[in-house]
Amino acid sequence: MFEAFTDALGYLTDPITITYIVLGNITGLIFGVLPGLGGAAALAILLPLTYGMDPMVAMFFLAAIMGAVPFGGSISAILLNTPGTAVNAATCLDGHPMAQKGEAKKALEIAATASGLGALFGVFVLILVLPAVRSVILLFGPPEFFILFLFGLATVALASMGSFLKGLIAGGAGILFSLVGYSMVFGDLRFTLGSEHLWDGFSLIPVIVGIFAVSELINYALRGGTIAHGEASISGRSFEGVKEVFRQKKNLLRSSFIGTVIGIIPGIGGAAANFVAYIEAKRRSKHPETFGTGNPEGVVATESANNAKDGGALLPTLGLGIPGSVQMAVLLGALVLHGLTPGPLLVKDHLDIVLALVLGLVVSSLLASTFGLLTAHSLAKITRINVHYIVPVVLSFCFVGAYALRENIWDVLMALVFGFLGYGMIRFDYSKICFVIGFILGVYVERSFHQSLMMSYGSFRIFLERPITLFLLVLFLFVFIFPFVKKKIAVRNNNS
Amino acid sequence: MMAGRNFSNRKRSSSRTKIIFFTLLAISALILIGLGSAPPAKENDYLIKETDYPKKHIDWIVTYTAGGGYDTYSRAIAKILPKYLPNRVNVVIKNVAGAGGRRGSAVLYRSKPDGYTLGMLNPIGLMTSDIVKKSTEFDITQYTYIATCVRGVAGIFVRTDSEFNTIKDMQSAENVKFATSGRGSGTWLWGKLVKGIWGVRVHMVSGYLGTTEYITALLRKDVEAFTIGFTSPLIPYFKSGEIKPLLIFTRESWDLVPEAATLKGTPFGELEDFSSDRVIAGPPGLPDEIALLLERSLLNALNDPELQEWSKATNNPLYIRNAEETVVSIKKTLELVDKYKDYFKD
Repeated sequence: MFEAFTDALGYLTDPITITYIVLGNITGLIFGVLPGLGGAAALAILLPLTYGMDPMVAMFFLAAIMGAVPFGGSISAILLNTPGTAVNAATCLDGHPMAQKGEAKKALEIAATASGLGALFGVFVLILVLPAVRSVILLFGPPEFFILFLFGLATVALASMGSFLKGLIAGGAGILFSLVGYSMVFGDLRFTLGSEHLWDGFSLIPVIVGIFAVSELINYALRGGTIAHGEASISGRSFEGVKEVFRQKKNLLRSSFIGTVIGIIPGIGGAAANFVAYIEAKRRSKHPETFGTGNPEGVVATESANNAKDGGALLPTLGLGIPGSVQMAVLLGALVLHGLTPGPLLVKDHLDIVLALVLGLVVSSLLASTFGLLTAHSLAKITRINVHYIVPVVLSFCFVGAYALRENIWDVLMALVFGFLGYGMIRFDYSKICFVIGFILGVYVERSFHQSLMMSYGSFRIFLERPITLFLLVLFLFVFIFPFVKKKIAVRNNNS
Repeated sequence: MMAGRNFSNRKRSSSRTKIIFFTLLAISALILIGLGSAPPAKENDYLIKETDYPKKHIDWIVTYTAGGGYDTYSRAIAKILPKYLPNRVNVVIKNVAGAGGRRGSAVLYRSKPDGYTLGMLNPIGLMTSDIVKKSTEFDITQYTYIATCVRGVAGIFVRTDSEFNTIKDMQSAENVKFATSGRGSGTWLWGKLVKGIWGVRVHMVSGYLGTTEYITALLRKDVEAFTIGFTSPLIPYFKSGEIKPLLIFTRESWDLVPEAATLKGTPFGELEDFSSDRVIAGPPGLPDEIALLLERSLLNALNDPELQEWSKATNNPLYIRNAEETVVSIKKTLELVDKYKDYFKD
């Protein structure tokens, strides 16, 4: 272990490796900033460049890309209200209102600091749990996932800003959209309107790009002016955002923990982590009513969670060869192309490779954060540019981003369609976050529910007989029912 | 430098990385000052005079997402193939995923038969999904087949500590839970065969996405077994002693797990041809001279020592068939699908 560690550290003193880490970092930032293009697209496109490299250097390079993407995505989320990647969607909710208030610099500093610290937390957990990864991963099967997903879905009730009913309608619509396509459980096509394009349902990237980015650009184009309202100053005090993060240690740790745990769940990981962390931060906040209007707590929560999730997602990826996300699936492909076999023996046989990935991720996250802190002031100036110059450029990138991952023109059309839907939601005050939570989790809730029942030959007792499911159910009831009971008791006491 | 290189060569590879790094820098500089030009044709560029092909890069369609088995094999081959193509043109991977491989297959089918679009297909996957819903976008018999690079070896797999050691143990069980993606997938097809042929009371638990999820489902005890048509990703689990093959669907013993039970001596040896092969094809109507050139280049690339070494190091076995053998094999599989079609009914 020690030898592998010093071996991996040794690479960090090699100028070539450092150069590749910096190159990976810059690439990750660019792919992160551009809406729709995320870590998976970056890895898939740049993978051929690593063919000639020493596998260790290649791993540092790929990890550097992954480490920088989430912070890159937060830049566009904060400044333009268009999340660079799916994992930054929730950053728009408070990051952008901060930018509108002239606090873009502070928001970027918060994102940079929370990203770096979140990544460190995720990697710390990764190193801690990696030796026992097998038993941890195998504790969670379809019944446990069902309760966890249900937990996530139930947060729609907490996430709706304004009208509760509209929040539920948006969440329900999200679930319905997620059910379109081939149902693996039933082996049949649903709501595809006879189109082969809808066989796989709606792809996450175009939906996120449409709902969050395109809709916002339509809004800007119609509104005109600049992003930051009025004459608000964009300068702010030096490193005010950094201090803000350190003032919110509890929020930071909780959100990083949520990010890491959700990152471990294959499939939904990153996309859900930032929303769940955001909602939990709002629920625990002393001023939940200020969420959505530029509360720094929201940015701390989402940005620490979406960086911490990479540490979590690497656990099943490296420990068992099970990809935690699309990005991790591409990484597994990269391992194979470099002559390594993912699976239970990777950690044992190639610990140095595992450590290269871990160190690459840490170094790159910290580099991205440093970049963010140094450039926050200059970047914040974007909020002073007339949106009529910004909209065409960003819209083009949105469509490129929607197209890139699957190279499918249909996805561009979908980004546009969901853009109009998102604009309608802005106009009529329906919660986008509720829609996206429903969209991400709907199909997983359904699948894990049916899988559980298939495992138990149709008996619902499976949810009560397994200790973790039972524990999660009790926790679920406690979290959602206790506040109501507490409120009732308080009202009764006041009356008496 | 080879991707499948041994790890003990790291120091040497580090210096090679430096060479490559500086070479890349030099190349970039050359391009920047406008000196970049196409490399001259090599003397051994056979057939080029007759066809004047290829003049530009070749697109290689992968019908699944980046990172999976099809993608990995495609990228490994695409890396070597330019060495054996006239003009050393590049081979560019395009992941056209969707609809269980059908979207990419349809895109390949519709592409211009000029030799600039190839793809790696999963014929048995297309055949089984046709059972659920016949595609109107392509006809599997009409592609121009060029070569086979991988032969899938199918089998039934259980945990090493499983109560099932033989197919007889399964036959006597009241129910056996099998993991599958869902109706129309390869695992579903094999599950139906196990039920129909051996009378095992297979209870399918569906909704698992691909081999890694079947493995997890098995280790987590969601299910008691699974069948897959491509066994190689399981080899690390055989080695770690977590999963064992109960039955391998081959006529003879399988060299990678020679001790596993096979179909040898049973009347079902033909099931070996139900294999999940990975086949390289072009669109229908590809001119003979181009198809022949591509076949020769591909066969050379598949036999390249670098690719062979990668294959051994990563447990990604190569099984090479030429165009003619590929067509014969696909025909056989189609006949088998037809012969056993009654088993696939719900």
